[in-house]
Amino acid sequence: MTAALALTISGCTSAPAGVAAAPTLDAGQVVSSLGAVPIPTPDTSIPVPVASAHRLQLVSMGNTVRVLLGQGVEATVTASGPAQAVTTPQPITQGSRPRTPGTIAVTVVAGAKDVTFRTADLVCRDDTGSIVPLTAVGGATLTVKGGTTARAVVSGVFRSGAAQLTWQPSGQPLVLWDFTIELD
Amino acid sequence: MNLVVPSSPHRRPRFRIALGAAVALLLCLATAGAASGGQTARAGVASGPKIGHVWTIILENKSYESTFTGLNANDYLWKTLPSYGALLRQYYGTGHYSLDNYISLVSGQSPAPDLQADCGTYKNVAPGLPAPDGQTFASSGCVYPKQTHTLFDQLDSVGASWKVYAQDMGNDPTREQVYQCGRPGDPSGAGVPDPGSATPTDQYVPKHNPAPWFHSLTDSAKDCANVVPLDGYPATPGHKAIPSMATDLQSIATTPAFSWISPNNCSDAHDATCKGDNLSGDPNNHQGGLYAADLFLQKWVPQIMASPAFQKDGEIQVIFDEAFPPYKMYGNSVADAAYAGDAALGTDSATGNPVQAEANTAQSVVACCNELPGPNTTQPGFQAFNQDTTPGGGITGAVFISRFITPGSISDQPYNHYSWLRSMEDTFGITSGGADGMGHLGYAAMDGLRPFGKDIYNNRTGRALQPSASGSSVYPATSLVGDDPQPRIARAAVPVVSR
Repeated sequence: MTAALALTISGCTSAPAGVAAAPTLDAGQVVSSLGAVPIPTPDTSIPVPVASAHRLQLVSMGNTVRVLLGQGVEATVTASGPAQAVTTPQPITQGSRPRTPGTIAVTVVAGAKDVTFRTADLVCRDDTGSIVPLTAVGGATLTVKGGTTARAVVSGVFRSGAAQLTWQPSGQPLVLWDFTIELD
Repeated sequence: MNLVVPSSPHRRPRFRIALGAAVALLLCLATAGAASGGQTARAGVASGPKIGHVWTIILENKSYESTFTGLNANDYLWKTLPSYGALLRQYYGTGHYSLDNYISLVSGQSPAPDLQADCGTYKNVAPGLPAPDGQTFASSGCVYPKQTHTLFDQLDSVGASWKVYAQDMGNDPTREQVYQCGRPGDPSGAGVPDPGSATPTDQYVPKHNPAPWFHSLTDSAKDCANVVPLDGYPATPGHKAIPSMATDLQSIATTPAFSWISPNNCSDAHDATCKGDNLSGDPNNHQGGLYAADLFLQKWVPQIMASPAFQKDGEIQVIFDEAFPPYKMYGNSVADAAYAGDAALGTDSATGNPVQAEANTAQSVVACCNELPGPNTTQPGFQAFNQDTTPGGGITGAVFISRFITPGSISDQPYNHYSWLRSMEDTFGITSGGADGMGHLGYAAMDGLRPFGKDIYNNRTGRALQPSASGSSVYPATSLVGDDPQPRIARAAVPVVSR
């Protein structure tokens, strides 16, 4: 049966492939004979990278990193954005370089122990090497209780289309998120 | 050849079935004899399997390196999907920027000035007169006259059903007309503004929908009824509700033979930061680029593949319109043509352009397949990114999945958008009309243009196969259309045990 169906499905070697000449088998008959085509599902087991004082993690914006902060303190941290104020774009005057304001959100999930997160530990540098000053939107220091989640938001004005956000608690770079931002 | 000749799980050969197969084979041979005369130019067509349903998902603005080498956050597209189908490492766009690629894909028309600029004003092509090779003179404008036909017109002519599914189309009726093929307005006279970017509530852009650029479609209510919002549309006075693609997929009877899928400006990887929501479900997550495209593919590819039409005889294609620098990027238009680190390279003495642009964009502007410029532009590719070398749309790569494709296979055979059009015309049995009288429109009729061949449809029996890591078999490029590429096999394909 398989051979006959395969011949029917795959068609004659010299007939133009086409729906007009498609066989009248139903999907169930085809699957029964030739098997069901496996369906790819997203791999949900992709491990979250682990950062520590000995291992900086470079990831793309939106990615989550598990960060070991020492002395049994750890957090799972996600940066997302920049979200742009599309309804009130920064005016661009003739001859000036384009720029756009944007906000970046950092979500911190504390491990078993409390985590202190300071927006001052976030450093943004664009691909020209210039620092993008960041300002806290809301609290600048968050104490995240063990097992809970908190979210910090910072804003900046971006003058180059590519930049990086680094989280460096105590001056130690642990995670670097790379991103682009629309200027036009 | 990496052909799998599966052994039947039911080893009980019966004379009646064997006789049936023999009769079918004889009929095939008879048909082959009849068809061989006068159809020699359709080499490559002849070897195609009976694909009955195609879904083409088009994404935006990425070079092959951006998409398929692990530089970006898009595991589903660059790792998962190629292990279920074929990775086309030498698939090329035909121009810059977006719109001319969409036009080439569905009509075989070559790039023209306003198309290359993505048509800021939606207005008719002028002068719109016929040119050699099935082309149209289009020194200005973007909307082609009625005599310029498309693949959709051809599908109509052979009775094959089709739909264009456009995500977000109709969200803002002041931006696009949902019942008129998604056009932004009336293209006559001075035309109307063509929204080129998304808004927070409507991320549809007409330039990423191939339908509104042809009067052969927009002037037909019947055809425009096939150009629909991806997620459906509620009933309005005088109009019934439009079903979503998810609803259409429920049965073969409601599934079009050909489905073109245009994600919105976020889900197609165009915008680096989405103006509206991506498909993460997180209202605070506006990450765009290949990250957002992966979310779209993760949602829709499994739905399509679970449909009866796909399981019977379907093929999913994930393609890009054009390559676009830089290689590492999450969104659009941060062309590293302006990468400051290369500023010291100075100026090209021949063009006066900064060398930094030329140094960083080479993969994105090359052409393949003897692409011709056509009557409306000196170079397809617009000299984008200050390039002054080989014209073209650059290498984007593509992924195809079907029961007729061996999972994990790679083809290095060069293809471009005209190859795609020719292949679709052949797939759906369009054998008359066009620029060559054999069903191929515009430059899809170009002598020597190669349609997708045995390097792609490399599992002729259609026997379902297990996924396999990309690179399980690699088909090298061949010089002649009729040559069969001989694959290097790293891992033998393993059939799915059906029962």
